[in-house]
Amino acid sequence: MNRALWIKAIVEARLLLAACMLLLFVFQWIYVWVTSLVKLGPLYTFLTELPEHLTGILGAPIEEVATIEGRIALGYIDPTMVVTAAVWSISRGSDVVSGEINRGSMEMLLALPVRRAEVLVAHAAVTVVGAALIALSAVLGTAMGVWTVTLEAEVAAATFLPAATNLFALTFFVCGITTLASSVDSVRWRTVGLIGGFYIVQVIMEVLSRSAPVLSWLKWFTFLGAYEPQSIITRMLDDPAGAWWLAAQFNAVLLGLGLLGYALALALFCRRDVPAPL
Amino acid sequence: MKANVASATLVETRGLTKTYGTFTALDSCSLEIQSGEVFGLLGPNGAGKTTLIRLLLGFLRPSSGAARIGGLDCYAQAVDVHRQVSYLPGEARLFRQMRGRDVLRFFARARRESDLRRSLELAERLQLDLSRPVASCSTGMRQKLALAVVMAVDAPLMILDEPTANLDPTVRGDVLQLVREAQREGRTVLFSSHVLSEVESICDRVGVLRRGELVHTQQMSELRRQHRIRAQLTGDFVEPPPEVAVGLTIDTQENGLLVIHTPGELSPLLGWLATLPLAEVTIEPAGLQAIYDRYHPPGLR
Repeated sequence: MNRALWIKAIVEARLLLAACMLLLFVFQWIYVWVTSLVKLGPLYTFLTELPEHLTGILGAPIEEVATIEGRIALGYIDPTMVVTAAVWSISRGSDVVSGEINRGSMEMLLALPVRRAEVLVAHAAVTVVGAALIALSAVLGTAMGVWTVTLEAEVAAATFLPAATNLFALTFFVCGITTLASSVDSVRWRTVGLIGGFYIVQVIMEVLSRSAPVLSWLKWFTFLGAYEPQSIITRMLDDPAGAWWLAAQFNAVLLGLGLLGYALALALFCRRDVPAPL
Repeated sequence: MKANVASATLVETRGLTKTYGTFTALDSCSLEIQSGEVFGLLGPNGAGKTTLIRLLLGFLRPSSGAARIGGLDCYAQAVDVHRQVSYLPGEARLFRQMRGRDVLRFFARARRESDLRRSLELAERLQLDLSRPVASCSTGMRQKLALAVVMAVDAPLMILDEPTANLDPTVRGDVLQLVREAQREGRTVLFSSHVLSEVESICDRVGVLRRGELVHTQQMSELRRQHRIRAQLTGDFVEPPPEVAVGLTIDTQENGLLVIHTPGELSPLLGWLATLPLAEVTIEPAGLQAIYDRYHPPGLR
């Protein structure tokens, strides 16, 4: 492996990675604090009376989501969390091939005596480690909140660990498919647009599958069906082994599809013509 | 794998073709470039120069035919080929997040054949400010930075795709000087350019591309011996003796203008020319422009 490629990948990723990690760490910490301020009280009765298609969006039974752990868990499906993961995945995944071609820097990079696979793997490895650090910073933020904020009941920070692995798996999957799209493209913003559009369609499908029982079959066609941190966390309360098993199942789907994306990206990039920069 | 750089032919293409659908970017290009030679590639935009270079670098898969550098297949053995090649793209775009010095360090780390000290010396010679981030450098500065990278690589073949584009005249001169130095060190140079005077001054041989076809190759030493004689006939034209006439191209026009192209030495012609009734005689080297115009006539490019 070429050390220079690794250093380059780290240098290019460090600012965005630091920003994403800081954002999720602070966000989760604040989320725990905000959760401590909201007392459900009579609101709980109101929530239990809501129609099923509205409570279904929460992804877990209302009595479980209403617990302090359940309410903190909602932070993991908050748009801030999901969008930050998407920003990291899409910006890094789109950068590796179409980004370098688009900027014109692929020319001198590929003229080096390095295999194309090395260029992609060094970049992808830094991206995947970054995804793991982002998930870790989120769970550390939650832990910091749990340790520093006075909550209505005692909460174990470890409860949120399997949810963090699910967040990592989601980020890995999006990295994989974005890298796949990037590997056959030459214009970065087209890759970003394609994956961004795909992501939005998947979110819409996920919301529809949860809120309209007649459309519940849509959950089989959206990768977000395998991103259920709130279900995993609420399961942790009474069945930790079952929660880890549930996380493993969701993660296997996301990691498997992400890995397939990376494998296809590698195969396509190593065989494709590299056009002159625009 | 080590290439056999001692062999006479360093670069070889046989029937090299690249098509995109129905469009043929390079058509059956067969070419040999000898070790130590400076070979110029000429042709207007879209003639196939960059396609040929990209095929040599293994960036493109040939539609048919083959390209070899140092006996290695340019596509199938691209990594080994790249150890033999140092490449400067037409418009070098480097990593924008890095400073100039970091760019030099990156390339020195990335390949064994590169020498950071030599890069830094070249950067100084090209008057580069290495503390500036690439993103804030002008196009010319970036090109100079790329030159400092490329010229510091100890590879047998240098491929320079329009290396002087975007450079001021002083630095252009430096670049041509660096190419001459590379040649003196025994390196082979493939030099693509639109600037005929530059090609004329540094190349040993040139190839002219037209619509994807290599239509002509020309030894510059032969070209330098060729002349064009223009004169006004003031009397009857006398055919040259047979021993002088070999290879001559004589064009007598209705207005009495006589244009003679000579294939080699001028001295054998002088005796015959002295017998002709001529006025306003001008003798000039044929020059690359004449060759270029033959395949790319002005107005039809």
